[in-house]
Amino acid sequence: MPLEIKDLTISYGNHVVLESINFSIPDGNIIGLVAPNGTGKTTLFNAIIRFIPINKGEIRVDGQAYKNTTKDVRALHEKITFFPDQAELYENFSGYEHIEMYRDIWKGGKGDIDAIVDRLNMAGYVGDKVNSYSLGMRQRLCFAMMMAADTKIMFMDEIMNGLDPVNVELVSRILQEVKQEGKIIIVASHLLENLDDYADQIYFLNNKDIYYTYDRKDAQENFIKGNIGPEHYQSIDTLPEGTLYLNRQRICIPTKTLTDADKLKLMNRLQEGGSESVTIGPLGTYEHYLRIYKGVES
Amino acid sequence: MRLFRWETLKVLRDWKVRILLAALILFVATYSTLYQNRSVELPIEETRAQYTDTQDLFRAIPQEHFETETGQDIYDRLARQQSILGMQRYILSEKEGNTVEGLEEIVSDYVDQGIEMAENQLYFHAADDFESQELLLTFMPSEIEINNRLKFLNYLKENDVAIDWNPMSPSLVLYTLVNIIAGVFIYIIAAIFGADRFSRDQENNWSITQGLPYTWKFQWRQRTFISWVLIWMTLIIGILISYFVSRLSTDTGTLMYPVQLYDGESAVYISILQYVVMTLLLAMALSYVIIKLSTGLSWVFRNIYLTITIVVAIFFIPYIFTIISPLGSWNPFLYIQLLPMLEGEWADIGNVNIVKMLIAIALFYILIEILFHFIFKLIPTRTGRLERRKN
Repeated sequence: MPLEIKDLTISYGNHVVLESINFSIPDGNIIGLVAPNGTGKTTLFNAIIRFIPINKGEIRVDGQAYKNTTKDVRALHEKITFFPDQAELYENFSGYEHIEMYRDIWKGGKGDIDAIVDRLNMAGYVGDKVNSYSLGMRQRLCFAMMMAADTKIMFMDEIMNGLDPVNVELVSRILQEVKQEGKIIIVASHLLENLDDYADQIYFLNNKDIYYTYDRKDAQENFIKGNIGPEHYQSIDTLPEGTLYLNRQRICIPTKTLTDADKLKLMNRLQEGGSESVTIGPLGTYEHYLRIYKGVES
Repeated sequence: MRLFRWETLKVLRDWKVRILLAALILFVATYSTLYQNRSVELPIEETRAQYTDTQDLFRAIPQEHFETETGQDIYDRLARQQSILGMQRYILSEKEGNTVEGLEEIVSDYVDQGIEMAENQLYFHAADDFESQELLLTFMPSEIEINNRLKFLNYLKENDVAIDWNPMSPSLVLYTLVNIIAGVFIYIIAAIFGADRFSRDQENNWSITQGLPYTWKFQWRQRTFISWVLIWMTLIIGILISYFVSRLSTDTGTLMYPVQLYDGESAVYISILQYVVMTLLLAMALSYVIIKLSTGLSWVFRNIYLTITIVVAIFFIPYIFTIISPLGSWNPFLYIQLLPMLEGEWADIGNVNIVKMLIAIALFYILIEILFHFIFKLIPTRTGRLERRKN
């Protein structure tokens, strides 16, 4: 397995943040990393890339263990890049220079910057100094820098912050293309429904561990999904077994035992109950998030 | 090299660095102009004072003391001194060199006369049976000074160099400028340049720089080298501008003019050119270590003022040895300052020399390397949410 994490434990003083984390990610995979703020997403990234000391555990890339030695850390940084914080760009450098810098450092000057610029629609501003950029422009620049570094493993923390829907779609599409090149990409994002567009698996961090892994490739049972208030939820009788009512708002009704007529009837009930949109599909990242972090009423 | 270009650009794009470099070149390049606006005592005025002193001696020493054989000899030599000083005054006033064209037979040669004067002065020191010797010697330089003067004059004679009537000649201004640079000046510049080389990155650009595939030690060495090159490129350009600007206004003096240098316990005379090259090379070596320390401390403290204060404070360590014993010439801290060694301030300790200074600089280099090897491994940086990795 190209990226393997074994028994990883992180603590600050007596406070254990992550405990005995284990996972392995094969080449050509995008992993969504989901958790409420302060649960340890960034800590997990920092630990794997060895920005912070780890108390216990092992990090392996392509079968080789990377220990906490200067030599290993340097070698690890050749293989992994971390998404830069848009507030920490060099204000007196142009976007082009930022991309060139990452390309020079990681790829020794090899790589077509113009192709990256065109791919991300940055040609109109990439030559300007960063101090004139909006949040969205900066965010795209940070993404372009990662593309220029072109490392095998990429950690993308809050990658979609500040991006408009068009650029969210653009970046999502490029992520899928990059994945085809065999890269391993871990994305931490709060745009949960967007993760379903490109991620292969979603890791939910909870209780200091990867509490649940949602594999989108696995066959998924379909649900009728909508949003209704508790009073309407209580008024619907004869809901099939396995119905989930999440965060006193989101209802997910399994369709396995329902006839087409029943499905239609229930969808109409949800619309009458105030749900603006009613869809049929498997449980997505959003529903799993509500289930894990907000609780379930069944 | 792939990182070097970007580290250099980061430094050059920093407005503080640009302003510092501009101020540095402005100060150094205009130094000759500033210096020439000072009022200094010309050699001719010194000679005039010596002439008056000799005249006063004749009046002050009782006439009967000159009546012994030694007294008569001293009287004749003092008279000769006065005659020489008169001719030297004339030679200096004509500003032609060691003699005056067309009057060589009458005024003779400044250097030959100077050697004769120095030999006379040594005779006065040896004339223990002269009753007014004590009074006589109060008007004379010490034996060490006379011997140094002799070395100076012999250098002029052997190298066929004319006495410089102008203490503001370009070569002497260059000598003064290099001495200023080699003092606390280079410490301050080195401290300022190194003081935020890491702190800025840590405070403002951490997420970009922390994951680079280069060790901190490598980046530290590279940043040190970049600052060092920038400082010395600016200084050398400034020194050259200063020298050539002063040559535009004055055409006296030569780079072959002798200046004093202490090698161990005694003084030797070397040309200004040799002195300037040697002092600048030593200052370059010393400044590399200072910039290295300053850059490293900017990683530790992330506080520009604290780093500058610590680095500049190190400059003053050798003053401790004016109070307590340095316990020999091998004490490396004696060599933290360049000029006291070159000017012979440690001559009493014995054998404080350039070779030992180079060894001391190498020792400091190794010590700083070892110190920061552990610092980069052990000290967490960038306070805040996360502790730094420990290597």
